[in-house]
Amino acid sequence: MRLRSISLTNIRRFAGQRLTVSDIRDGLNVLAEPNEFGKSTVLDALQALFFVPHGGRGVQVTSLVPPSGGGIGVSLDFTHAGRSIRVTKRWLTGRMALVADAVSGAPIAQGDQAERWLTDLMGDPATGPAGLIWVRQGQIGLVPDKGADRDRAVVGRRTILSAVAGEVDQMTGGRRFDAVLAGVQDALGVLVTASGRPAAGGPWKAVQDKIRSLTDEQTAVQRAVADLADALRDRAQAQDRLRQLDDPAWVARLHQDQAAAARDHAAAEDHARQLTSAAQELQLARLKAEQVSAVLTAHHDMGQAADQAELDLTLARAEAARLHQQLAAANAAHRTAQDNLLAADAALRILHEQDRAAQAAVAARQAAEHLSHLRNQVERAQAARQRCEQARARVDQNPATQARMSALDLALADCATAEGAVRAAQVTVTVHHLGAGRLLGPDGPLPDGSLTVTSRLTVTLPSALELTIDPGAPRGTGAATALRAAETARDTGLRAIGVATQADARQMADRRIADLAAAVQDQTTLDTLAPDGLAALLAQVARLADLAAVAPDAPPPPDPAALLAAQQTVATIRRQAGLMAEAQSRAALAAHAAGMQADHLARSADAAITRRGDPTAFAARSAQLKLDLSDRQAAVARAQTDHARLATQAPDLALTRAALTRADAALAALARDREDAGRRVATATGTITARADDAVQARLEEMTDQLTALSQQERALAAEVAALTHLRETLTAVRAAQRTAYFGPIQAELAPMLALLHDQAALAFDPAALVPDQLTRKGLEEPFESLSGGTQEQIAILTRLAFARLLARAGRPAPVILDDALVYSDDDRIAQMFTALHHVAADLQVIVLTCRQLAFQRLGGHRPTVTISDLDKGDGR
Amino acid sequence: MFTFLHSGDLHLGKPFGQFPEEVRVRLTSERSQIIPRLAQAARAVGARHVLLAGDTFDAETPTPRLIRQMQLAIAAAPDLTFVLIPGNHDSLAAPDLWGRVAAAAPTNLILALTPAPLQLAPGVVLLPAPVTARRPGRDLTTDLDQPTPPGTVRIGLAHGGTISFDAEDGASAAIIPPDRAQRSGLDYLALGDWHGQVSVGSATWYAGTPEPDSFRHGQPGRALAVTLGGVGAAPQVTPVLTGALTWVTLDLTLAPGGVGPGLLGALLPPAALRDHHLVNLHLTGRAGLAERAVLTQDIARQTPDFVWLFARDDLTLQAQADDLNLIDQAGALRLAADRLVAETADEGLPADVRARAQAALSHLFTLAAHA
Repeated sequence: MRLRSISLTNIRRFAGQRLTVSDIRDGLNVLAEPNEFGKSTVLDALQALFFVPHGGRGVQVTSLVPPSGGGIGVSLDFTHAGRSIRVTKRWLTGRMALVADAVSGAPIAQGDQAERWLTDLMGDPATGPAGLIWVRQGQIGLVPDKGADRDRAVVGRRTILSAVAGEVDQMTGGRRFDAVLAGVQDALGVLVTASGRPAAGGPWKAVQDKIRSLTDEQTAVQRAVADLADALRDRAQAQDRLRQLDDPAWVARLHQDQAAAARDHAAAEDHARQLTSAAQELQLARLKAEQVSAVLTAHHDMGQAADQAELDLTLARAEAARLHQQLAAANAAHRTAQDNLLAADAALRILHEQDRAAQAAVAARQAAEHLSHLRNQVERAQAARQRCEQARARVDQNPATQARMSALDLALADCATAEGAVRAAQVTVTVHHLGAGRLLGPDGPLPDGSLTVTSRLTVTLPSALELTIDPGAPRGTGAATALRAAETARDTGLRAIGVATQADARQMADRRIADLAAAVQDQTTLDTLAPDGLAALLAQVARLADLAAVAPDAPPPPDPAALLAAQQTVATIRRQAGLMAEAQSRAALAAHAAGMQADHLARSADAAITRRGDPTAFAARSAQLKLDLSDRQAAVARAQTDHARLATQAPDLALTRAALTRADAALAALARDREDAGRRVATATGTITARADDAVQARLEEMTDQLTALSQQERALAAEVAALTHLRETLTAVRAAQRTAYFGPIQAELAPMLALLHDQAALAFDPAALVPDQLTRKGLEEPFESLSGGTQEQIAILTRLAFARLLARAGRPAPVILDDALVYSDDDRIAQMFTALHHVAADLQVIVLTCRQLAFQRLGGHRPTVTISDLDKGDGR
Repeated sequence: MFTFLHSGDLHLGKPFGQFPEEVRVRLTSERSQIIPRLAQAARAVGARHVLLAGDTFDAETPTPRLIRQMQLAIAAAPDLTFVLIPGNHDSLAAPDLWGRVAAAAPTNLILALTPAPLQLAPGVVLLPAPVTARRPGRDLTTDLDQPTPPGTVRIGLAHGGTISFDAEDGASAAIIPPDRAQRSGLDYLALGDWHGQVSVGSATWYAGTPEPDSFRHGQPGRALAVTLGGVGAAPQVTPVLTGALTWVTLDLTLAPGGVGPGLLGALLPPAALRDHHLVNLHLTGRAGLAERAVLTQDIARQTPDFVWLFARDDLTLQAQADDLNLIDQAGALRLAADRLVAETADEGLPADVRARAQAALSHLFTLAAHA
């Protein structure tokens, strides 16, 4: 469809008039007229033409009626499917609807037939091209406010999208898909949580819990079964043991063994007692023999001791005599050594005296030599001290101190400064007589030369001139005062120094400085000569004088070799004397000890001889003791024979005791084992009875079977979850891919136009409303609602343009009508939007209605012709 | 002429833990009625003796209540004599068990706890071979060689495997020679351990369990009525039904398009018998999504008819165009279905991934059908 012209008759402000917009062409048409011209009326009239039946009386009709009333009419020429069509409608008065060939005027359809023809052409006002791509004034977005309109708009968009991309439900599955996906989700929800874990209260979790619980219980029952097996085995063993223990032959044999062992052990004990008695007899015989032997030995020892004591005494006495002789020789040698030592010491003392005297004489000579040097030094030091004291006295007496000289210098400088100032303040007159005449001053003629005038001065040149020189007010008063003060200070300074002139003062100051330097130099000399003071130097002179006065005439010192030889001789003799003294001491001790030993042995010998007594009686006693010893030894031999015989025949007592113990233990063990086996049987029977009552084996078998079945269930449920999860993932992935494919065509149309406005921009579509719901610019995602009004209206227009292109592609080309659609956009964006409009208008018809005449002036586009004519005159503009 | 009932492997007290509580109660209840049913069967065939060839009890430590119920059940048939030997499940290694049983044994119960011959009737001797331990490690039936007076009919009663087929619990290391009856001069050897009824020779039989406890053998619970005409005469052996419950495994192999109305109903037992059946239904082959859904619904509908019905689904789903069209002819649902079908058929994927895709496809089909 391409619009060519539209005429509005008696509509709204065009009461009694006909508004005709003609020369509408393919491509972009711009109808730029001021506000209140009636552009929106044109769009309303088009809406009425296409969608309001000619018999209608609703608000869509009545709103078009002018205040003056009357019938209203709209006529539209357009081309469609290669034909030129004219549609004419009138409402209220003279109602009619006519579709006719615009060229021939031949009617195509009239009345209701014409309405149906229009409906077939344009479809529903909301879902058809008008609803899709016409923008009314003030309409910014793509979604109508009213719910019904919104739903119908969705239907319209879905229709066109489906026309180019397939049915949306077919593409995305529609409600059936949603129902299937919900069914999958419901089935999964029963089994698992959102994170895929078994859901609490669900069958999978229940089976897992039951497996866990049953496994725990099975472990306990397995322990009980093991207990039962242990008890059965233990009881069988205990019962076997009891049977063995209760065997009468076995019991009788144990008792017989015990009785025999007891008998054997008693006999063995009796024999052991006999053996013990024999051993005691043997021991007694041995003791008696040993006693006699001991007496005999003591008797023999006593005789030998007396003989030995006599011999020892003789030897000791001989030794004592020998030692006394050695002591006498040692005493003599010692005395000789002492004498030699005394003589050598005396000779050495003489040599030492001589050496000391000679050394004193050398020291006196050295002191005398040094004494004269020191005395000269004392004299120089005393002279320096005297000069120093004199110079200091002069300095002290000289008043031209540095402070006074500084004050005087300052006063003199002040005087010079003040005198300069006074001179500067004086008037100087220079007199130079050229001839004989002379100037006369108060004091007579004035000489040639300069004259300082300090006060009013009158000079005359007799008969010729009287000149009064007035220096004016006294000048330099301050300078004179300062000069006087300076002069007073100067005079005071001179008086303090005691001189009359500056030169004298300077001379005195120079002398004072010279004296001060001389004092310092003399003090330095004094410190050099007597660094420890003059008194110390004088004391040193006195000490040297004393040294020089001692032994001035001493003999020469002894020969050092002789002195050394004398010292070595004394040392040698002293060592020899020491050795002699030691030998003498040892000899004395040895002689004394020998005497003591001899005395002791003499006493011992006396005692031993006394004890032995008479030698004859001693010999008789010895013979008797030897006879007694022989008897005792014979008794011991007899006892040994008896003991050996019993020992050879003795049974092993330890062995019989062990046999008896073993036999007793066997009987005790029999009783104990019977008791123990009985207890084991009872204990095991209790356990077996308890476990049998619990039917643990059957229970374990049952649990094992149950666990097997539960594990199968658990595996089946896990497989079910896996299958459902896989189905959900598959469905989700397919739907996402289908949605992408569904919106592909319109995205393809939108992309180049969107690029005109925004770099790197993309639109995402709401799959329910089928309109853009998100703009992505340079990676930043922005919900459609958050965009500015300008951007929203631009995207809305671009989307309509894209839909218009899709309509054209679907074989339903329709004009795009935009009634003041760019309200919030600035001029630059409007220019860019016009670029998009031109782009679309290459194969579409676009009609822009705008009140912004100047702004749109430069944007191009064809300007249709607008004519207004009175219905009765037909004039226009 | 001497007639007796040969049975064994009663496994009283078997817990059946793998089953739900309701089924477990039913199984236990039916098992507790074995002895009265054996008594009834014995009377029916004119037997006065019931020989139980081991494994009367399922465990070596049954509850006192279970022992007491067994004693009372035997005592309730005073016209019959029950002779039993321990089996590998209730061997002599459980002296407490047999002590308890013997302590209050009814007069018509003979516990053959030793190999000592027992005279059942004039000229008829029973030679028992009680199992001494769960794994005795030797052939206990050598005791059956012991002599008896000439002209005596010799009946052996033993428990264990005769050939290398896998005996119950796989524990029979001691193999009973298949020709034991001939070797030991037995006129009949009554064996227990194998829960299926089977003949090893003309005079050697396993009676099978009177009340099955698994799907393994696929037989109803039975005993054997044995009549011995005299020394050396061939025994007359007749199976006698004794079981209350039937355990049956049904294999259903499908091909696409093979699921039709009544398929399952024709395969399963008649409705009147279902309350006495445990069914292990094994689905194999290939089926379409819709077929599988129909089959699953049908199984779910018929499951309550049975004591227990378990369907093991090893079907390979073969998604056909019609099935997929039922999900959706186009669009996202169809794309998802196509993707799952592709995964199911991708042999490059691991088996578990393909199985997961198949299960997901099945879910999708079901959910789409109700959406």
